[in-house]
Amino acid sequence: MTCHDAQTKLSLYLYGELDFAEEEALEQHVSECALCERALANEKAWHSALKAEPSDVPLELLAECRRELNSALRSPKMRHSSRPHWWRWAEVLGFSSPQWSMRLAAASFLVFVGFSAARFIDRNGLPGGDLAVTTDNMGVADPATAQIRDIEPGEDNRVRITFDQPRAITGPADNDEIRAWLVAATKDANDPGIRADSVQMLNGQAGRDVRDALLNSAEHDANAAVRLEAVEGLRRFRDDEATQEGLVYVLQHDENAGVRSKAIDVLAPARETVKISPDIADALETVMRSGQPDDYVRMRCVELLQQVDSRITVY
Amino acid sequence: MRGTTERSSEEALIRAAQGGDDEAFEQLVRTYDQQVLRMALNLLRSPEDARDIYQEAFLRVYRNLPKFRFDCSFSTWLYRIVANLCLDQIRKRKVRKEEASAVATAAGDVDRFQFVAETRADVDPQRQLMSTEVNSRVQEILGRLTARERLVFEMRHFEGMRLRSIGEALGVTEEAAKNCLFRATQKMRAALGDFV
Repeated sequence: MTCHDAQTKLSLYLYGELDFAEEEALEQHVSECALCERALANEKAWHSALKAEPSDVPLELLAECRRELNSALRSPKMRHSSRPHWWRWAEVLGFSSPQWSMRLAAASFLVFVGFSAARFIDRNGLPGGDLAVTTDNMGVADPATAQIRDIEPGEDNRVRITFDQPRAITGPADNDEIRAWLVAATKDANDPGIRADSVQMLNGQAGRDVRDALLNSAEHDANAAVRLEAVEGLRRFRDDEATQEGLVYVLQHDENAGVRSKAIDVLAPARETVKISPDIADALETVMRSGQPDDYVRMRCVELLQQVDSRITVY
Repeated sequence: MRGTTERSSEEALIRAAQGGDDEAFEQLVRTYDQQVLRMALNLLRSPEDARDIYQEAFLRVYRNLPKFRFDCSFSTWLYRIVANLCLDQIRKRKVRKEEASAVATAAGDVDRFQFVAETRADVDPQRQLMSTEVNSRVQEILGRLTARERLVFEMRHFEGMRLRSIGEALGVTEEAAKNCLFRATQKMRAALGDFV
């Protein structure tokens, strides 16, 4: 392999897009050629200068896009365009108008009622005996609104109809049941919007489950906006040792400078004296010496450590 | 690499959506919509344009889903739609920019954008972390790439897609995608060489 060949393949090599033989040949050449070794180092430098980690999408924009799409999908035009072919034949034959649908539905319903009533009376005598229809959830048995997920025939001509219906609960955010749902929603794997909203609703609430959920989101959520919100929510728990450890973890490991700055502000609001354990002080010293690029975080760590030192001097 | 179980559950979702199950369609949207939006934002650097691409892409998927025959993966099909919409938008914009930015001077036509630094970091957090100087140089060079080079570079570098998938998404061979990436990285290297 010549130097020219090697240098034209450096980017593809870093992207892992060379085949095995090409990669071997390139590595062999680079290990023997100082010029190409330097070229590879330069190539790596500009690759990493353009940070390649996927960025978070702005949550407000995502929510707006979802709302708009939802409303476009519900428009009559879209619903019409997605109907199956048989529907067009039904339209041609005049069976698709609301009047026809109503008539067909009403007729089917009457036939069904007559048939069922006959069978019921035939088998059980007049009404007043066993309950003919039971529902697991009385709220779902409204044919006008419920969506059917499954129909399962059983014995004796009985049938089990399973409904697919969105459920909603409403209540004060600090109600135990609502809070349990909010805590669960902070772990929604697919939707950062729901995680952000749930963390925001938990912000300001007391309780160990709330603190643990916020700590989990602050330390591990994939979305920086959710982590930022969770760190803010930890403010009311900041005297708690587990919270302080969590905030220091964020200071040490979070990749987002805004979240790190928020963590130090929550841990130690400016111009306030804060009680900090020796372990946390050690961790802050580590952050201070770690060569982090944030001047603000380092400056605040110094301030905090000076407070700790002065207390040690006093006692 | 997506697992077999994940693929089969995605296939079930697609079949349900093809049968008119709106909830299944919504789940498909939620699986991919962040990637679609991020890709559109990275490529177009305009929330308004990205929003339009998002909506148009998923509406096209909705309209054409009954015709989807599993000849390729759903994600490849979706990315093909997004990539084509973005390519169209970039090309339209280049035409608009050329029309709008030429200023007649005594020395002839001058492009006024030549003197304006691109400042769209608000929609692109990864670039907020870069120094202003590198950022402005990157924006400049991205603007100079052809629409296809830019798309391939963004999909490989920022989205981490393999060249084979990029080729499938753009309807070109893997070799053609590789050549595009090569040209884009050469230009990027030349532009960033002094900074790194």
